[in-house]
Amino acid sequence: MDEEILQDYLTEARELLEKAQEDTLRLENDPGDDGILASVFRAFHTLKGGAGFLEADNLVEWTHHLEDLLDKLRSHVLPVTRIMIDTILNGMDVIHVMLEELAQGNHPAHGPEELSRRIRELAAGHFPALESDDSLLGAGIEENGQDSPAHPTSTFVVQLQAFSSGVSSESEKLASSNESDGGPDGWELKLDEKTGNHSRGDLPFSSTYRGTESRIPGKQHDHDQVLEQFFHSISPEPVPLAVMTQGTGSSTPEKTRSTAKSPSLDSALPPRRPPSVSDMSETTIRVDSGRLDSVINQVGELVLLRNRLASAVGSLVQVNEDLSRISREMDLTVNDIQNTVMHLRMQPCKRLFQQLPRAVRDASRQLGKEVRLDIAGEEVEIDKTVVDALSSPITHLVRNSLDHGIEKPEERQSAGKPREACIRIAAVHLGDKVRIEVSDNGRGIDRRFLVQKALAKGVITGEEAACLSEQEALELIFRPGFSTKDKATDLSGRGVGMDVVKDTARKLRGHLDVQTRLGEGTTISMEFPLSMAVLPVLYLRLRRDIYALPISAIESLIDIQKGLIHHLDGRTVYQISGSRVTPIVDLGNLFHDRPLRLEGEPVEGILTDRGLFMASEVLGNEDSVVKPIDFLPEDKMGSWYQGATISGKGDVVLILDPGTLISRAIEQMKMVHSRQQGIA
Amino acid sequence: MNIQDLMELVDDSHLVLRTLEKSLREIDRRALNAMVLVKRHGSALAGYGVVAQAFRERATFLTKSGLLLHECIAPLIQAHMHIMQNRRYLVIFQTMIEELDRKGKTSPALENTRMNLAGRIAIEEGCALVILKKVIHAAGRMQESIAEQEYIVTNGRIEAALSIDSGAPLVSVSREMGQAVSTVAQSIRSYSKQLERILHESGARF
Repeated sequence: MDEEILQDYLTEARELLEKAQEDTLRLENDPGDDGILASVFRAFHTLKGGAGFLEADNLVEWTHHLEDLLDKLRSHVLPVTRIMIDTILNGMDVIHVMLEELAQGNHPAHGPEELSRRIRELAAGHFPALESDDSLLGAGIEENGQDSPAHPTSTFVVQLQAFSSGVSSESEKLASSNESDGGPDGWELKLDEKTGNHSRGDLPFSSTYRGTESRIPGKQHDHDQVLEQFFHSISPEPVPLAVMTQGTGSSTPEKTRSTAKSPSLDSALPPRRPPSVSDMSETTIRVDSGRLDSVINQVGELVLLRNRLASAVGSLVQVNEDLSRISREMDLTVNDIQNTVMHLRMQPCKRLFQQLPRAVRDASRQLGKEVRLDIAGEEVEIDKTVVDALSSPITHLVRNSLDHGIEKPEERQSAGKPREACIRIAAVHLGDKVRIEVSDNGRGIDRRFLVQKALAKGVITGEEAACLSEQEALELIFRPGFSTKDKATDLSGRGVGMDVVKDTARKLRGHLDVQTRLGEGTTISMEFPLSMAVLPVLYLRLRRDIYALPISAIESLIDIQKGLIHHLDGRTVYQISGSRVTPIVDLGNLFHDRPLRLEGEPVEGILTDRGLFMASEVLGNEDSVVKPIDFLPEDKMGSWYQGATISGKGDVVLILDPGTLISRAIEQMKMVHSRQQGIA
Repeated sequence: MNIQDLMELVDDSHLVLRTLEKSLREIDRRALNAMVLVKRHGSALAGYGVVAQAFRERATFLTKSGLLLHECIAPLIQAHMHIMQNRRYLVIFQTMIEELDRKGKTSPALENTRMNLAGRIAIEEGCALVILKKVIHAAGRMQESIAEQEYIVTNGRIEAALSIDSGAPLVSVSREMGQAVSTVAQSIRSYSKQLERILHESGARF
């Protein structure tokens, strides 16, 4: 296998698969869109072609089956049903696994036989084992206009009647005896006997599933009426029943094409043409991310050199105008290069969000909840590192929200809320940061319940619980091993996940915030720097030591007034303005075990979004390049720093992590306070 | 210059140095605040970034000028104290010579000492004048720096008005910058006036 061709194929295949998944999910809501069907079909076709070239026979076979199924769907030989969508999505998961195998240099193994059989049967118009759960999408038929739980068996009859000549006679008999046999349930049991299917309820259909679903009741209507309703609803124009019945079973695709919207009509569709390969090749070029990383690193070094040059020119005793001008021009040029290179790594948040519709769809069905997913700001760009690293945490947040935050539809109704909950994912560009929010309009987080659970599970002590502020109580959700659930489920409850979210945010130099209102919902927002390549920092002096703080965390520099420092419950806070107080951290105390004397030595205040830091002097700002530090253990002082950098003067300077320092300082204050109370 | 004038000079010098120290720190802080603000807004406030950078550079220059002033003030006071001390000795010697003269006695050595002392005072007054001119020059340079700083603040205000859509509090930042500069300007202006008065009086004496 040619490695270069393989890598090209894998990249393209993953993109195709992502796009196909997105399209399939759209198809679920808009089953009549031929453009989407054609797009998914093309994706499988292209995947198959490439796989054939690489002699990945199992992948060829797998994509062929899916392509076959899609071909039937796009030529309207088969209708789009929920089971179809499920099967196609599951098929995509298998392709994903196969691609991973290919990436590891192995030939993909066979796909799961059961799923393969299901795909083939569906493509052949047979509906095995699953129809009890299936329903037509976009049919638009309701029983008495009520949003009653589905009667899946009714849908099953329509499909058999229309597309499976082999079973239709049986189903007709069943349908006619339906009423006397105790309704849909009894009907299904009979059907199971006839078709040999005993797996009723294999894939439990969520009666609350939202979408354009409709249910065709088997009780009140005879099959002709049902069929008529069905075909009228999916067909752009009324289709004579006779024509449709001709097209079932033995019908050829040509016959069907003559009645339904044919694939050839694709060409007559409005010009929704995706950019062709030739169009793309004119404006884009695919570059290995490793090469890009090398460029980023080299620009980082260039930035450091620029800083050193500027510092050296600035410290010249005799001002040299030429040198100063060259230094300034170099500064501008390096800034331009830095910005350009930074943008090379930027990717739209769409890449981060594209997995969420599927996750929400699957999880909401599993949990029996009705959830709408709103996504905003897909076009907002952020560093590739953040997109890559945030993929799992954001899925976790969404699943957590679904599992813990969103109530069951009945519960929501009784609380006076709409049955359908909403999860909103948004990316917002804020200057040098990007904020990503995951919010829901669920039940919110009960702080008291959290504290009780944390106490019961031994996560905190009673003493700690007594001292917790509202925000700290809320942040218990980020403690490792903490979960409000007593029993773990597939989705959550193991107490791992939220701590990973927090850890990921910290590693990405981000900031995590939780806002919640009981009964109204929760918003978890994460703010990340726009670029990970260069970090603007502010240098500060603490007695003789120099440290750096990320500028993104700094609000302003203030002159500390002794009269504005207050002590509350063992915590030292600073009154910024009227009612705004913030924790104050004496870096002298924290790093040297010797507090800074406000009136005895120079003291400057650096106000950050987490608290106010006291240092000896603020020296200035610089764009720095973060170098990881591994010489300090992560569990001790290592976590106090985001990394190290080289200042313009050539010194190695540690970059402080404001969030960790504030937490550490608060812990220290609490310890001192409890010690003092113990003595008292 | 009498003791009263000297004490006034000492007090005013102390005050101006304290004001300078405080205000220059304030100006530097304002400049850094502006730069932090600019950095936090990415490239949207690049124009204001240039102003903030210039403001900080001028603030550094102003601090250097302040240090120069600081370095000159102590020798000036010291020189005037020496002059006053020697004048006092001169008065004592003069009194002693007149006393001896009344008694019909003369002391050439005492007269010689008085003459030497008078000569030394003249030299010291010359030196004090040089130092005074240096201080006035330093104060003048500070005033020039402040004028440039005020010009930058004006540019900052224009830039802030142009970038009003960014949502960054540039207008208030520029106003605070202007206030900090204005405090230094007032302090230096009144100090310069006092120095010029001393120079005028010294000139009249010499």
